[in-house]
Amino acid sequence: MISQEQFIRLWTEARPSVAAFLHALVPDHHAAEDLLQEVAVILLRKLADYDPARPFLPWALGMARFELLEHRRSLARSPLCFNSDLVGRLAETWAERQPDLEARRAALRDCLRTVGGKTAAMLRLRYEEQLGFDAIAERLGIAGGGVRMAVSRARDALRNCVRDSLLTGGHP
Amino acid sequence: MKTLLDRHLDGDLAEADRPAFIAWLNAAPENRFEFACAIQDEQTIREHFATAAATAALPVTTPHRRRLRFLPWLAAAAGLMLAAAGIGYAVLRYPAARLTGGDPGLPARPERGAVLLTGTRPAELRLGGYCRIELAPETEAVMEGQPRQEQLYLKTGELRCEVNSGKGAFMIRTDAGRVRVTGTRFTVRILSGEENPQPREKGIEPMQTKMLVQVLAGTVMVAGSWGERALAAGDSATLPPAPAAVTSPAPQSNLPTAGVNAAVTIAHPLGATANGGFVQKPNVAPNAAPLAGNRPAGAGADVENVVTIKLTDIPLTQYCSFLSSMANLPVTCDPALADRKISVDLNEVSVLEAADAAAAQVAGKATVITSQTPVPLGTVPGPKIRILIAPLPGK
Repeated sequence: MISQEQFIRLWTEARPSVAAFLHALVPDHHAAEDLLQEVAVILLRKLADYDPARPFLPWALGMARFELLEHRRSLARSPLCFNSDLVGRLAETWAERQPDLEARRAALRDCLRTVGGKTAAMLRLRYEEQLGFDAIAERLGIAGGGVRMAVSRARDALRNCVRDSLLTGGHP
Repeated sequence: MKTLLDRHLDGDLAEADRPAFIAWLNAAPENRFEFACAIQDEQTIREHFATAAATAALPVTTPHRRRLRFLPWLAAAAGLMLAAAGIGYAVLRYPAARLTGGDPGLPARPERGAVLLTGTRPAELRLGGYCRIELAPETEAVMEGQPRQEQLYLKTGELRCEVNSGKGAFMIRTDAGRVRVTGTRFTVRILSGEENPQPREKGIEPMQTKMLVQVLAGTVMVAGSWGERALAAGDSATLPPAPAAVTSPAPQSNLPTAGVNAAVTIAHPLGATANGGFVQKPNVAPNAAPLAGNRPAGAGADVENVVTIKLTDIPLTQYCSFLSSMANLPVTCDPALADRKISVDLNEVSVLEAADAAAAQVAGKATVITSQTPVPLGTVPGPKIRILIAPLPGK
């Protein structure tokens, strides 16, 4: 059995992926965060079951998957009612493509540092304050459709930045 | 598809678009990877701006603005260390049990397995930082359970419990049944003397433990060999209930709530002629009303026994025998499936749930059943397999 210190290290590494997986399937941000906490507690409880010879992330994702299915009732109210097979396939994707996802995350963090001005203000309202497009438009004094378009363009720009960064293996 | 993905990210995906979107996700691993990337991007952007906001809120004490470049990293590192320390603290510093009051000689920090006898004075016990239990005078209880799943065995006397929700589970076990809660206030009292009159004639019925449960706030689940029921705030119940209370007919397709003296049979609804599932024992009548009072109390089955099972690739027959011994009742399975192997990893589930888990696995609903597998009690997924409760033959 691994030590608590080892667990903390492994969980720190795996947490973003497990969080993204849960956020993918539970659109409600707070519900997904609650679920993430629950998964962390379950992992701690089941630490004795973890085989250190095996990778940690698939194990953690497996627990997250089961926890997610436990919350099937709330999931059923979500915009996407994934069946358990698809949930399983998505968990596999997260586990198998973890190195790619990790590289992408690092690249995106670098790209985000280049965002400034009105775009940054808009993204901050959208992602940090979680405002709707209309509320952002009202706050910034622009048309709602314009905000939607601007956020979409910002996403595209960030995706392009990430793609270029990954292709060149360097910074944006 | 990018448009649909963006709509999903914005929470604007229309009902009509969902089948197409799900079909796209199912279609190829690369699609699922694209979806994973998009979701992770959203998460990363959200974290980026949250960190930036937190950093902006920090007081700047230096005129050298170049140092601000490191603040997001410092904040992230500090947050990481705090989170790690928090987890470590939660793990390593699970609150020890504390006992105050009671007669002299009671341990101040009792450990699991400790027998707590209050004597002439009441005592107060705190467990796991979320359970506060008042033990009345002349109460005998044993500390059981484990971290975040605290449990007391109440042998005699009375307990008054307050449980904070969201911290862990709590259960009081008595010879009369169990009381499970996650956040509530209630009392449990073992009835004795005039409160629990026993038959005077010898040989009719052995001494039966009864308990009185009063719920002050929230909801509790009470369970025993006599069944299971929920009690809400303001409710009180003496348990086990009188025999007449458990004579209702057994439902056709769901588990009855009362199952005293019952046998669990994992059966195909079409009976012994069907393949692919368990069959009921030939001498057990299906769908009959559970019998009440035809066996001495305490000698019957306990389908609500809590079991922890971790078995890999064991023959179904062995699993059935194991359940049978755990529940003190006949659990049978289709001889045709005797060589079928199953794997289970169940933590503190009832015998019925354990049987459900096996049935679900045999029905091909899962390869390995764990405690996290959503198998609702008594409603095995799939139209062909179900569990019946039937009376014991001719006892």
